[in-house]
Amino acid sequence: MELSREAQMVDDLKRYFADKIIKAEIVRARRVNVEVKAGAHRDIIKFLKNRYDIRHIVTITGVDLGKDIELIYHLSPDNRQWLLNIRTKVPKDNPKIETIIDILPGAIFYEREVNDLLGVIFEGHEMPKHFILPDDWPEGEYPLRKDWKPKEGVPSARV
Amino acid sequence: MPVYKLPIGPQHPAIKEAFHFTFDLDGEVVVDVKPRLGNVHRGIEKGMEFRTWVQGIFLVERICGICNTPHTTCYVLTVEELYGVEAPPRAQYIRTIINELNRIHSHLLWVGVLGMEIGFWSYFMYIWRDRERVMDVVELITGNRVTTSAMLIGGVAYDITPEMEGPIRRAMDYLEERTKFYKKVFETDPTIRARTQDVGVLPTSVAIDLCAVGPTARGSDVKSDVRVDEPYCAYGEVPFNLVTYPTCDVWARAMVRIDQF
Repeated sequence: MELSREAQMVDDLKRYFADKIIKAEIVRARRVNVEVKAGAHRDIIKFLKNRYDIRHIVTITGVDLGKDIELIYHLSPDNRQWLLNIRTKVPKDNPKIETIIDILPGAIFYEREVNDLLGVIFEGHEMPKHFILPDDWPEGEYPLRKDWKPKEGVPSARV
Repeated sequence: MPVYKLPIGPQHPAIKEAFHFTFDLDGEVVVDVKPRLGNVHRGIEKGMEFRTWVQGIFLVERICGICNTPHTTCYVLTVEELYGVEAPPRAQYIRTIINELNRIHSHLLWVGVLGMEIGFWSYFMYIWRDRERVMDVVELITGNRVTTSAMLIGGVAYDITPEMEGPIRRAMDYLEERTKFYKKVFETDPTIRARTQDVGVLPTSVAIDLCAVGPTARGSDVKSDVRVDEPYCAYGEVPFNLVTYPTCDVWARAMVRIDQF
């Protein structure tokens, strides 16, 4: 039986990036999950862009896991036939990761959103201070972190 | 010629929601734009952290008034996948019908507004008058004109009964005829063509690089439609055309929607 494009890609990733991938699997039709080690996401996204025409980024999800923040890059090939989730973690006390906007320029807004709401710093991406939050929003307040609660002195934050 | 900076918004009569743009103008040509978002950010995601799954439906429904059903559909499908359940086929078809009605009224609204923005007021008023027929059907099915509250986790809140068939078919037949007329006008009217053809050109490669989706992508000849690529609800069982236009301009983006009416 001929391998589907997704299965081929998972095989390729396991072969070329064996030391950088924690897990790679097809979770259901049209969904692939790839968990990668810290710092490996750029090489893998570059490889997928060149080899599998994966140039579409749907969004970047930031998930507060407590100690870490997980970043999920939702990618899709040009024909948009399936979705690939590249997952990687950054520690919450030093949330830094290299930008991908030089590889996928469509990620500009998503990196800014995750920066603004979760406080992740995307190294190499020069961005204005705020994207969604107001200009007078206080330093160090990241409203989408789970331990963040609406508080006095933070403008227009009522729930 | 020096570049002028033209700030527009966040409150401005020409834009429908609070949004700020700084346009760089060289004469009449826009050479760059810097958007500033967030003026209407309501923290819906944060608000959902401590609410129940069911309460979440009605909160995501309020992300956008015009396109409320895609948000609720997406949300209930996600929750169903988390729980490992699926809505029955009849519910999937009703979801599809309600989503299509939402899409049709949204396209009519969009093309009508385009007519208004280029000074073609009669086109706008005719289309918005006919859009009311869609809203009537939505009201007939769900009891609501705009925000339908139709999606539930595991199903839908409203049935489509045999008595509704007549009024729905009559409205659809009427709209089909009207659509032919709107398409002819858009293809032939010299004012519309002068104002939309070769204007706002988004080449295919740029549309792909900037991750355009929906009618914007298809107007730039990108063969992608989420209803085809990810056949949710009953879309996998209903044949329809994936509409693309190759000219990559405002005219193409409008024609994609008109063909999809």
